[in-house]
Order: sequence, then C-alpha cells, then structure tokens
Amino acid sequence: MGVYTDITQIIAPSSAAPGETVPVTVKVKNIDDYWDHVIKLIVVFYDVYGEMDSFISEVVIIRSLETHSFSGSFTMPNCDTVIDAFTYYPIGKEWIFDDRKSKDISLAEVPEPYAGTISKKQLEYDESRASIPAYNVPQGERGLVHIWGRNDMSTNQKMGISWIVRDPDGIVVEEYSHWETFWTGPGKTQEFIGDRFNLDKAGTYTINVGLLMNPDHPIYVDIYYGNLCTVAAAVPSPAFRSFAVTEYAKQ
Amino acid sequence: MVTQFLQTLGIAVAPGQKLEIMRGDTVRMHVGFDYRGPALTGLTLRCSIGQRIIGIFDEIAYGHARIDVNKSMDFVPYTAYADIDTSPISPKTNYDIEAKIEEFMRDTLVGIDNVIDVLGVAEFANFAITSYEKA
Repeated sequence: MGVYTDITQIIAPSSAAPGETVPVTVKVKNIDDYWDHVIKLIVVFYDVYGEMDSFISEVVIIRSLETHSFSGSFTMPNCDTVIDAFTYYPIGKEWIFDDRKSKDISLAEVPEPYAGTISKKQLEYDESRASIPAYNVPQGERGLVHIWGRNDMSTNQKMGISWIVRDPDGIVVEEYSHWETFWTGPGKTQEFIGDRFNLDKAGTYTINVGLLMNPDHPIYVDIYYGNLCTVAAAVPSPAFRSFAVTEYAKQ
Repeated sequence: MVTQFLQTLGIAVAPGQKLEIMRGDTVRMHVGFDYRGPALTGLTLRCSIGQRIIGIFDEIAYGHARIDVNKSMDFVPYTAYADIDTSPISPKTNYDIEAKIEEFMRDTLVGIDNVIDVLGVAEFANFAITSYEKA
C-alpha cells in the first residue's frame, strides 16, 4: 500500500500458452479519505530475455476512496512471466512511485494436437478382400468394410470411426460408427469392421469415412470421401430367343 | 415354273415353302436367333432333313456348322447356316426339316414339315431295239 493508492487486485490467468493473449485488469484504490488524486498506472510483463515490456500506461483522476480498474493485454512469451503494476502520483513535473503489486503467470503446457490417419481400407466380399476402391466386384455379392485407424500422437488415444456407404443411386446401404473399447498406443493401429450389406446394383458405390479422437468432444483427425467399389453387372446365363429357320436353298 | 427356275439357280425359299431338289444336291439351311449371356465358342448348329413319323423326327441327312456367340447383357441377333448333303435321301415328296443348336437343344429345336421334295436322278430302263423296218 502506498501513500495515496493501494493496488488491490490484479486479475489475470495464472497460466497461459505461448502466443496466447493474456487479459489483465488492475484495480487501484485512492486511499486518501479527503482528496482526489491524479494517479498514473504502469503495468509490465517480463519477456524471454527478462526485459520489461509495458502494456498499460494510463493517467486518471481517482476520487477519494474510490477504486479504478485499468485493463489491457499482452502476448504470453514462451516462458513463465510476472506482471508488475506500479502506481505514481505527481509532485511538480515528477512522478513519485507509490505502490507496487505483482502476479506470476506460468507457461501453460501446449496440448498435443489430435492426429491420426486412416492407414488402410479394405472391402471384403466373396471370402476375399480388396483395397478400397475395389473394382469389378461381381454383382450380388455381400460387402463388408474394414478400416484401420492409426494413432499418430505420442500418447494413448481412444479412436472412433464413422462411415456411410451409398449405392450407385445414392441410397444409404450402411451407416456405421463405433468407438474402440480401450485405447490405441502411439503409432499403433485399430481395425474397425462394419456390418454386411448387399452389393446388388451395378455401378459405383461410395463411402464417406471419418476417423475420430477425443470421445467427449469428437474431432475428425482424418477422412476419406471417395469410391468404395465398382460393381460389374452380372452376365446373365445363356439364353436363346426366336431361334428359327429363316430360309433354305439348293446350292 | 418360276419358282422351279429360281430354285434351280439356288434362290432361297422362305419357311413353309416347298423346295424341290435332286437327290445329291446340297441344301443350305439358314437360321436366325437372338442371344444374351456369356461368350460361348464352338457351339454346333445341326440342320437336318428327315421324316416326322407320329411325332418322332427320323433324321435322314444333316449338316453341321460351328457357332460362336459373344458376351452380351442384352439379346443380340445372329444368323448362321449349315449345308446338308442330300445323297442319303430317297426320291420322295414332303420331307421335313429341323434345326437346333445341339448344346441348347431344349431352347432351340425348331422344325417345319412337308417342305422338301426330292426327285430321283434321270433313269432309263429296258432300253432295247424293239424292231426295225424300211421307212
């Protein structure tokens, strides 16, 4: 507490990530019970080189026994830092130091971004498998999708999958979504197997797949929107029609 | 008479019309059909001349031809023919004909009755000098 002022509070987060904007509010009370005072507030933080950078410098008149709030912000350096607030009052042309208050702000650990990859895609039919997109699948087969997701993070992650298969007419023939029961280690893969569906139309089937992480607030870490397979029309069994003698002649 | 003339020249006749031939002539029988399905090669077209007796066709002479069909999802028209050597056929009228693809007989067997007349070769008998006189 100073002669005329008391820096009663510094409102700021206790930690912040590097590069993050840190909002700061400093409350200063004029503790003189008779006179109003001209008060100057300077607030600084310390950068990675230990040098002070000011981000609030303001002169106001604070009424007797009233509190004034000063606000500003700075960009969190890549280190722990301290906010220092100083108040001054004038005498003649000089600013006389009156009060000081500090607050530590620690460097927050940067969360590793979620990362994963759809590492393999296969379509099972007729007791065999082909990479997606598969080609010339015989019409009338039953399809089964296998998708592998890889955890590209340095920590264990619970991965999920979601896909939609559409037939050549755009009709949904399979919707599937699933979260793995446990988790997948760094660099490891998890296979997801859907339900069987009919490949009974000739043409191109499509699939939209999304690999997910963070079950509480799912985010897509990889997607594949493309062809699932082409289904070749089944060749009908031999059939003859209108067989007839059309003419006969002596040679 | 005109028909006879055209037949002599090898003009074809339509199904149901009579064709007169000499024993030993070759008859070319044309067929037409539509096909769909997988490609098939080496099918056998069999065309025959014979006599239908109480519903049973007694084949007397026949000819073969190979047929290949292409893979097709829809029916596609084809034509084919086979030549029949009529040497085994005795001179007579109203012979019947049949045609079929042997491998698919149930789907293709067709026949037309009473359309072939077979004439015998020119024959002379009892040729002799019966008398001679001053004219």
